[in-house]
Amino acid sequence: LLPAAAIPACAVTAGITMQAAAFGRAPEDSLVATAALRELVRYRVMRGVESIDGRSIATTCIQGWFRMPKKQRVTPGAIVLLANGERLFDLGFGVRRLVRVADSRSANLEDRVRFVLAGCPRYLGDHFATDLVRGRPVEAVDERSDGRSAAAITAGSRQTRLTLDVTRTTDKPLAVSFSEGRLRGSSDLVPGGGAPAIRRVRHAFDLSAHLERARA
Amino acid sequence: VLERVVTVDRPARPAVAEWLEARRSIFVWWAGSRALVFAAVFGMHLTHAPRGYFGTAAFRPLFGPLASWDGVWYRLIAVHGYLLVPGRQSDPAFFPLYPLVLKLVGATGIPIAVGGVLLSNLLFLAALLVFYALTSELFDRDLARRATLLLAVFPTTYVCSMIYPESLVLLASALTGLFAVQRRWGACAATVAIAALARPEGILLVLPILGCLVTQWRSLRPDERGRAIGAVLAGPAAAVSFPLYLGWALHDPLAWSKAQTAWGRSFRVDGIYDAVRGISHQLVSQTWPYRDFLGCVVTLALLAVARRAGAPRTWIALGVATVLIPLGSGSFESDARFALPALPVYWALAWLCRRRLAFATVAAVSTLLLATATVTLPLVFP
Repeated sequence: LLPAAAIPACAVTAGITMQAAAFGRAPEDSLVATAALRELVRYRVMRGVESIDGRSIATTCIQGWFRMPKKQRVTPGAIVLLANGERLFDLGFGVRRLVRVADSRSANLEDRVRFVLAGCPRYLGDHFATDLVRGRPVEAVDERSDGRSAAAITAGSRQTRLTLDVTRTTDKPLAVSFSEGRLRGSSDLVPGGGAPAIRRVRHAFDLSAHLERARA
Repeated sequence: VLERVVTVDRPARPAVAEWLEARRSIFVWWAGSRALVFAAVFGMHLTHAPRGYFGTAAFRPLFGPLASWDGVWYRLIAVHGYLLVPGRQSDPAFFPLYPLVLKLVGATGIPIAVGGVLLSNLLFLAALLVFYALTSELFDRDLARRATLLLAVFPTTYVCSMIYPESLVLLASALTGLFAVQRRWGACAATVAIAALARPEGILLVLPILGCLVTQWRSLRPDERGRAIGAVLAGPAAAVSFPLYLGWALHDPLAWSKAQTAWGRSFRVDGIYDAVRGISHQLVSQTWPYRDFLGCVVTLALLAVARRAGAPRTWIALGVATVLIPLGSGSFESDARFALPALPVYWALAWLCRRRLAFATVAAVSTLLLATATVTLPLVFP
């Protein structure tokens, strides 16, 4: 009965050897990035203090499923409230600025950068995931952030570059920096948020009446 | 002495010619059906229609639609290897052998998209020839010829011209059956391992091998029995090598099932119930679920007919499992394509088409459906 054991053992060994020889191991930088993504997409709320051109402002992002005005279907998206009362959102049609209730316009470059720096988990995750899925290079560098051992994960091109700092031990997001063209900025992130923060954002977007949060 | 040399050498040529002549119709039907698929795709290239889910980029290459859908993922794996991206559709959902072969094709300098399409079509020809040999062993030559020709124009075989592993699985399945019948257990182990590394349903070939083993058990020598048991276990063993590899490469042996979840293919105990319950709602509101639902129903009906035709029970069990297991994900999506390696379906069709008129009718309808399925590629996932 030796062949009965030897043949499957050969099948396993040959299978692993062939796959390892053909595809090798995933790049370590990509594995660091996927671990950070796994942690990032756990959160639905992200708070931060972003700074562009030396100006700092606090932000809160909530992501979930929202209903557009006059539409029945709910769509996934993210809404951002800045401490100065400005409201940005993306419900699948690009970043928009809410001017007044049920009235929005396309965001300009600065608004887009601000939106990215707000650190909405899925939005940030999309940036990294798109590059990872398509096999584009993602770079992970060890550094220290706020005195903690961190990994800086960078994706994108020279034109649009996104860097996410995460703790080395828990992969928890610490900071994000983003540059698009000549505009660049960074943000310190605190994942998760209490009920008051969420209530403030919902109230600012008048969610109950016009931009309803269906499931968050 | 010279005379003897001549008389010994000569029969080789007629044997090859005879072999080819006996299979001429298979070559012709394969070429005809593939010409039809390529013509349909060429028409799409010229007209950029129907658009469906495709952007203009998909139509730009001569046979672009044949490299679309999962073909994009297989090419990505061939070039970049595997990476599990959390919460996203990512490539560990795809079994490794086909992209591995694509990588080898790419190493010859042929563009992977072109090489992949060529490879799939050639593998399909090989699958037809081996299927003919297997069917001849199990039934008679007439039925084998009819079954093979009907397989050549079977509606879902448009995927056998695409960058999809179905041609490879079909070939490996037929070879496994043939080697098991012929008691070539070592070769049988190799081909079942190939099938199991190409697609998860390749593991189900355990059933026909087991069937052959049970029927031949008494007449096997002890060493043959050992190799036969080894062949039974080779498929699952080869399949296990994939999560083991993923454990080494991605530090996550469960990457396959996690990726499947992101693709909406996580299996549940009540999945079949959900699929059946959900289909009635989908059929009312959408058109396309009809394709896979009918594919499933027709396949199950033909499997029942295959039993009457005298097909081995284990092959029928494999067919039933091939069709029903994917429903465990709660959806009929792609079930018609998954049923492609259910070989008793073609035996049943050939058995039903004993009369010329019936054969001609089924072949004509099948060809029409093959063309239709090809031109609707941009509209619906294969």
